[in-house]
Amino acid sequence: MVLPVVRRVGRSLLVVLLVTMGVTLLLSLAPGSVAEVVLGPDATPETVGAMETQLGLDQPLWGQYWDWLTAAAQGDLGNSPVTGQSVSTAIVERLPVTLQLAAMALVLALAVAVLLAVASAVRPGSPVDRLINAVSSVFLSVPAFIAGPVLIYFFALQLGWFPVTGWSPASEGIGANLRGAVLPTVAIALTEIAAFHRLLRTDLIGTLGEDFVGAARAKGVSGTYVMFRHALRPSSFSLITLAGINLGRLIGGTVIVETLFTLPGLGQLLASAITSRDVVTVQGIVVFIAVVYVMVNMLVDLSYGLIDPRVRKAAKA
Amino acid sequence: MIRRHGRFAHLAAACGTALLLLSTACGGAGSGTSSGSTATAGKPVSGGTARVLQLSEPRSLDPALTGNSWVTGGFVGNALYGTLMTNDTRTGKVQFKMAESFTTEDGGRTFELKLRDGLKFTDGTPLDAAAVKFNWDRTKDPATGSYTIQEASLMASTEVVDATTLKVTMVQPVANYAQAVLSTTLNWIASPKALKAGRQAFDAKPVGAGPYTLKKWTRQASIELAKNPDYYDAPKPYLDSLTIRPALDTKQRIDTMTSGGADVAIETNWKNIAQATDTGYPTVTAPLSGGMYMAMNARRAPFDDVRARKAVAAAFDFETMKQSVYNGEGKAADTLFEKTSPFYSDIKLTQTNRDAAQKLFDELAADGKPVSFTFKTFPSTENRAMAESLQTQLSRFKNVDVKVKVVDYADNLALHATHDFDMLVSSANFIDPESRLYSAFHGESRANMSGVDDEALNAALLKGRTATSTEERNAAYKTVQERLAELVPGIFIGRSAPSAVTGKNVHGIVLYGEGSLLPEQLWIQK
Repeated sequence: MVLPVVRRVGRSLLVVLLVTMGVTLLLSLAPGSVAEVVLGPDATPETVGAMETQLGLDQPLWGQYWDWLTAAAQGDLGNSPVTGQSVSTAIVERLPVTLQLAAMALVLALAVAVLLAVASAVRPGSPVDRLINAVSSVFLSVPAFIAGPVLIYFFALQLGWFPVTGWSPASEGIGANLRGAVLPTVAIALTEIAAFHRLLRTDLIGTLGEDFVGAARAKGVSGTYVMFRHALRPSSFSLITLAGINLGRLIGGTVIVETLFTLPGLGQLLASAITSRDVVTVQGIVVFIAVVYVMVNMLVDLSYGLIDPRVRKAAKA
Repeated sequence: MIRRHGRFAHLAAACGTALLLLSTACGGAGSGTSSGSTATAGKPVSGGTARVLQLSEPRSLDPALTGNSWVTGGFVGNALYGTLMTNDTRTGKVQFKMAESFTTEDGGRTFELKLRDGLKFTDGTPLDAAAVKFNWDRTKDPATGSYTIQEASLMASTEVVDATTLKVTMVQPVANYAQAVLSTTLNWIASPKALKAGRQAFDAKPVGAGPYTLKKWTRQASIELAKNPDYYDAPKPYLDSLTIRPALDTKQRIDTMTSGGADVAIETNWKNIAQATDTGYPTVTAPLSGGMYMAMNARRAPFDDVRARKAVAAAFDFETMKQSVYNGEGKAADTLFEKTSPFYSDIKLTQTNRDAAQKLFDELAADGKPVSFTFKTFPSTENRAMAESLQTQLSRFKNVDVKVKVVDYADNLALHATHDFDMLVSSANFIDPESRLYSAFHGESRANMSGVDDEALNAALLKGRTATSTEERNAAYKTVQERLAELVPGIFIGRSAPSAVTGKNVHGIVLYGEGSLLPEQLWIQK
């Protein structure tokens, strides 16, 4: 039991290392430097050069990476030369916004997708199933940068139910916080709903055709009970895997929605750090996202045993 | 009057913003041109909170590290640090605030800055001549990394005469240096004690003597300010607090404003200003001369040949671009100065003449110099549309080829140093031409993006800078206009529109310098 966990952790560390190395390499290929951003267009080459030396940017790339890595391994992600802020502090400040959005979007997507998938799987090919599939296709084909403005138009501008932009922290009132979070959450959740629905529908239809489901039905167990007690749980492996992967992705991938609604999350921080060549901040955020991503996936793997007794038994055997 | 405050402001203007709309009506409450309903204003009342949308967020609240214009940190800086002086954006007349005077007796070789007596920062330390010296010397120091270094570097030295008097010696005579001070971050003085504590500490608790103090800064979300009860100019500020949020996206900004999500929006987009005006939201706009222009790099082919620059300029039609980029809104910059400027003359910078353009393209091709160039543009919607509009317009002509390449902010900054471009968007916005016009087009200026280096133009720019009488300046700037029309270093796309759009119950909108909005005069009718 211990060895597989050690192997998994080792692989995860390797993934994180490769990701941060890749980011360093990619940013080094981009034109412009953070010193030019900090000093502005009027800076002389001498002052830019002096700042690059001060920041260690005149060292070979591997040397810069090694310096960053050794400091990061001791918990020091450095300070942004652009904002002067500690990268760890910046991440901690932004994380609640992104985490809340990702979690709310995921919960909303799962709740809606499960209901839709169950409704679809009861009678595959029925008018209801076809209608739900059509709606799902629409959701899947509408990216957040389209869904956001449409939602803003109807629910903020026409109906005035929600603000167009802005974020109010939960600490300043849960009502205002939720009001500001609803539209971004929905904009993110739409494509997730479609992806989850399609996956779960297919798995449910397969499970409902299994012998044990037929046996339960033969015993006179109600359709609802069969669906939720016997079919849904074993059908949700793929869904949980996808939800786990997507949670990790959403933590770093809500940049469009955060920009669209002016939300102070990790995505906006990452986007601004990239455009200002703030490698220290980018690396800090990337390593954080990579660690979260890997951890979420490990938790997903572990959750299989909780959901399905067959997995627990197989593990014990 | 308006001038330059660093290429950063102009870069930001070119990068993130569009052009502007100048309304024609003259304005009630504000300095600038205004439109909309402002008639019911009456006497200012105290109290309330204003939600303000701005076009960008400062990277730091250190006054040396931000910019004093409508597209940068003008509003926040004015709120935290107050102003030494302001000006009337129509007449250019300097109005003294925390400074009592800024005078020269020798044609701009030296100046004497006189401060009000008894000014104090919110940490209790005095805002005196020593504090101004500390701030100005610091801005001039390359190690600070200030975007105002060009203007600060016009000062050779500063000397404290007494607690309220600072003597400034210039590198060369700059008769209108007050305009440079008030339209840049030199206008903001922060507590030396607080600045010495370091950048992180200062950003957490910036200390000035302005009408507001920082309550909370959530980066990329909001800056919350509270009234400074010890502000020197009581009963201002009228509002108890301000909540400032960045709103970079054009559509998002106007949507937030018209849905009641903001009380004031600092604005720059023609379409938004027109939409706000059409729906009855009062707007105030500073009448800037100059504008955004497509700089053609005269340091290398094809634009090292003036015929190539003239050909592209003659092929360009502003009205076509206006339709495709701004839905028909916008104002052409066909002359260098606005009609309201004392330096205005009807010298057309460029004129559309398709036949002449084709003739020049053919002539260049026959000489073995076909016009082929790359337009490097910012990734914003407006700037891309602008580049693509020019590309489309030139596609009608033979012997010319245009490619469009999108570059981001950092890449663009690198281009300012390397000059590795054929064409890119820059800007030269000003009311008084000092000092932006000089830095944009003088042959020895680092900010001269086109790289034109013309003896007559350089001499005229220098004369305009050093001359003390309006007549002399007029003559010098007439020569500047003639030389720019002849040399065509760039194609002016349109005027910029530093503006403020307000809710119908918001009053006291005053812009100064390069469209910098003053917070202390804002008030909300209850």
